[in-house]
Amino acid sequence: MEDADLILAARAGDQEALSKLLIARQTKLYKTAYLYVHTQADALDVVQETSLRALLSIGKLRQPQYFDTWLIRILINVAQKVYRQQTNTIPFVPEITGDSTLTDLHADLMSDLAMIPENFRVVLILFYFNDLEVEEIARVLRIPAGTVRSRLTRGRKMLRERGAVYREYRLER
Amino acid sequence: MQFIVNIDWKDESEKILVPKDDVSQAIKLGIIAGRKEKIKRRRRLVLLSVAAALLLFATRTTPVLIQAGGIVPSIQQLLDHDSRQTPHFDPTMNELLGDPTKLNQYQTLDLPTKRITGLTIQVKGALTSAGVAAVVVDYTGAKISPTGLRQQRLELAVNGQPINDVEQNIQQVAIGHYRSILAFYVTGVDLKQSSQLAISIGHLNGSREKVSLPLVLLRFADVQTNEPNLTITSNKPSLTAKLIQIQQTTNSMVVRYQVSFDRTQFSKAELQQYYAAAWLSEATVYQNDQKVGELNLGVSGQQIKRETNGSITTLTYESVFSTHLSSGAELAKNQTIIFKLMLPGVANQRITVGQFKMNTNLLIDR
Repeated sequence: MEDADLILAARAGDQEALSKLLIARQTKLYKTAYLYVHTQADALDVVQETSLRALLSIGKLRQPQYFDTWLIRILINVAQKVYRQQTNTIPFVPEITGDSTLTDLHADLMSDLAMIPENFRVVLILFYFNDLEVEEIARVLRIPAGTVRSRLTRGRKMLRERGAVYREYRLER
Repeated sequence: MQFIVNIDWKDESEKILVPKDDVSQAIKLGIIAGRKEKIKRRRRLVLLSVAAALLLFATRTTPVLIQAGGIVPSIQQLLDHDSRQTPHFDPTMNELLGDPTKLNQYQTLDLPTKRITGLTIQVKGALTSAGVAAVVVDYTGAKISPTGLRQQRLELAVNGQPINDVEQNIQQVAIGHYRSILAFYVTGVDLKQSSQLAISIGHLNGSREKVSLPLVLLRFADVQTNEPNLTITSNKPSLTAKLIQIQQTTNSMVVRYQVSFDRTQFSKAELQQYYAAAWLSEATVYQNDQKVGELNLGVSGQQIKRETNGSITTLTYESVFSTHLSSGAELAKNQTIIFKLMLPGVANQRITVGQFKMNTNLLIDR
């Protein structure tokens, strides 16, 4: 079954169809969540809560073609909530996975992203890691495209000014 | 010294390790939790509808009671937002009984009261839909214990057949006045005939007393009976199954089906399993080969008869389904319902015997 059919079926109440759609996007969902909340456990929580909320609200998805936008919006909302709970409890320490495939640059980049204020970080994540265009990010976050552009610029500036990546390496894009 | 680095964002993204099994599991858990939450929300909505139905009903039939401040507080308090009073309240049952537009399902009852240890008990009314019924029971007296009422031992029987699962919700109407709703599935009866409901209450109000209430006549309005006579034959295991009858009312239907097999073809262990159960629990609705949803299941695989003829045993079962789709849509003409029939197998693995395919025009001809 094509994605479009699965989306229609999911909207009609077919939970298996929704499950298939989510599984097909699991890598993207997890990575986006991980970039936002920085730990595997929290990222998995975000994915789980996103699935729950998706199931509860798929019936209200009016334009199936915006399924991905809709889904990522749910995930961002959940991640924000988890992140805010995190920041009220413990300071962030970047998680280095066991097989140490993370390079120094990658670890620095992860730490830098964690330092960037939420509003700017989410735009950077969606732009660089989710490959969304400015217009799409605007749709996900329900903010004007101009605001997305300015947050992107300011987010990059923050990375440059505060981040280890830019301090220790000279970056070009 | 500084390096000149071009960040390859895609490459950096790929360095994030994805624990795929855990992520899949998280998605599945989320879906399961969502399903439960959905049921919980529907339950709240339906309880609200039940209350609205009761209010409308009461307004139409007993305005004096409302003016006396009797029924309105009761309705408000029947809303159980946190499911604290009715943790097992059945969403399909609620859906079937909770539609305020189906007030004709109500029967106002004027049955004698029972008085025992300072407590007066009276069955006030009944609600029915094919395969499901509920009665409203009022308790009045000076020393009513809500906890005692909730812990009462209820024994219900329809036409002499005991009802195993009874859902109950109790709330206060006024000082010294409590109201309970007892809801349950009804199978194995001819819905066109009135059925006799016997109610017996043990540990009454937390005491050691037991009381039997006057018999209640349950009537099912506008019952339509169809006999689709659909047959499936399965070689694994070797048996024949028939969908023999559907009794329906506006919101629900009772599906009667039979499973027949030759006892000489099976081991004792297999026979034990086949005697025990046959489930018709899934009813998926398709339109032009596109799935549009599933019918909400009330209860499945209620065995109502066992017959033997030589080496052939025939077991008759009933399942109750709502005629509303889980997606909230209504069943429409020119759709196909596929009922899946399953039997118990080894190691808790169910065997799918086959599927009955039925056109909805059989159900919707009005």
